Amino acid sequence: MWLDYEAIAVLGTAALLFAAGAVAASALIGLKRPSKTKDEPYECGIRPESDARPRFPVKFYVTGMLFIVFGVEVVFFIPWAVIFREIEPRAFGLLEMGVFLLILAVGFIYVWKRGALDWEKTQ
Amino acid sequence: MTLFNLVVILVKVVLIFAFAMGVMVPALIWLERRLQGKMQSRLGPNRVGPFGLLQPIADALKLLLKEDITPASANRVLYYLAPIVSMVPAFLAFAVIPFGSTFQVRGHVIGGELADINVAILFLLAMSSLGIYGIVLAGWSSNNKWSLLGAIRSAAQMISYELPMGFALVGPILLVGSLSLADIVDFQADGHWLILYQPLAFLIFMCAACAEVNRTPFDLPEAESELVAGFHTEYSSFKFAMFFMAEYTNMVAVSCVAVTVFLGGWQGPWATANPVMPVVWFLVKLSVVLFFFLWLRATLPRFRYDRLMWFGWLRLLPFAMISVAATAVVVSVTQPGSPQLFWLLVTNVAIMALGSLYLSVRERGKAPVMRAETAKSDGPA
Repeated sequence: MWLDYEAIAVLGTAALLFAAGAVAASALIGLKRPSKTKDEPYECGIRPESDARPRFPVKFYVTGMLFIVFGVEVVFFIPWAVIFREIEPRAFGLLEMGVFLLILAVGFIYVWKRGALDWEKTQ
Repeated sequence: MTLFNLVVILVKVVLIFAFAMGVMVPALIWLERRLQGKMQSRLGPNRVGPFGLLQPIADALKLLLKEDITPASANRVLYYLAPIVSMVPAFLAFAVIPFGSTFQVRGHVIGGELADINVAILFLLAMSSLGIYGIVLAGWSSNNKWSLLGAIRSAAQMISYELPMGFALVGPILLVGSLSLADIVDFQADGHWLILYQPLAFLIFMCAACAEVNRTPFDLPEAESELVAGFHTEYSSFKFAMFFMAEYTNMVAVSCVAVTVFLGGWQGPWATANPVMPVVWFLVKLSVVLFFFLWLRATLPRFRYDRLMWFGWLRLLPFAMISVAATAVVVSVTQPGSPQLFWLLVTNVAIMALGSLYLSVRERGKAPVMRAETAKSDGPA
């Protein structure tokens, strides 16, 4: 088992070296003729005004919050799925996850009805 | 670790690199452009080498020789880090994919994958999530409004579609009872492919996979008609190429997952005869899935952003949850093997039929709503 993780580490190191090498090569090879205009952020030829990190709609934040909630739920499902057929009696495993899925579904429907998943309504 | 093991690992790592960087990515770039050409009644690249085969190499060389611009206001460290962060996880996903069956060399058993870990599916999901960091870092560090918008959109899209993707993989895990991809492939011997047990989960997985790798119809992060180039607007030279290589590598990786989990992996007729046959089967299936992705791009227009979120959260996610619940019930009341296959197939078809019937009845006559919404909404999301 440990050998497998060592193998992943080897692949990771190789990928890291390759990617870092590519970035370094990109920085070293090729001509360099910087100018003030060229180093400005690209805004279709118009002089950029203000910083490019403005406030953005809160709906992205809501999506992120919902993802954390439901993402954790998915993670809870996975170990249950692995040992599902070993749980005795089987109805217990089914019922247990049924209750969990029900709570999840209630939360999901609540979020749905409140309009958090409706992109146009969320403000 | 013995010397033999080290050599095996190194050979496999070299093979994975050759497979991804040397074969799949250039082949995909070439094939995508040629196929797009054919499907749009034009020629596509045909000048560099026979049939334009050397075009990817020419592109790579050209990009390498271009000027590498870093915007003056960019956060330099993150700006340089972003392409690396998006590329490494894409490669790491290949570590657990079984490309072929186990075989023996001088009495040593060698697996068809680099690492047979018992949490392979979790590892794959983790690697596909890590790819988001590269995109967000690129968008934020560029200090460009287009980049930032593209990056936030992309992050929201990818986390949204990760949920149905995770749920779609729970069904196969339920049936196999293991997270190891070797076990999942073993389960699918003799034509018992998991796509037959889980057709609905497969459909959901493919939709989510498309969104995860930012392919059309879900390529909003780089919607060129509205966001210039999205998160990589400021990137030039080889760093620009790296984002594209990462995208294609991700596409190959996610197709490998689809083949391994749903399409039987390396299983196929005569797969046990010799160690070469399984690899051939795997590559054939992989090509079919990749062709499907290329075909989609020529067929479907891009989603609008609110429709994208709607589809992910309100269509894919509920169906994925229903699919998992139905699978659990069927698995608990039927015997493994053919009866289970039959009942799961029946349930899946029933869910799909009833679901689409219900939705089509509910949405009947509602089609203009979408257009009215657009008229009301002001400003880009």
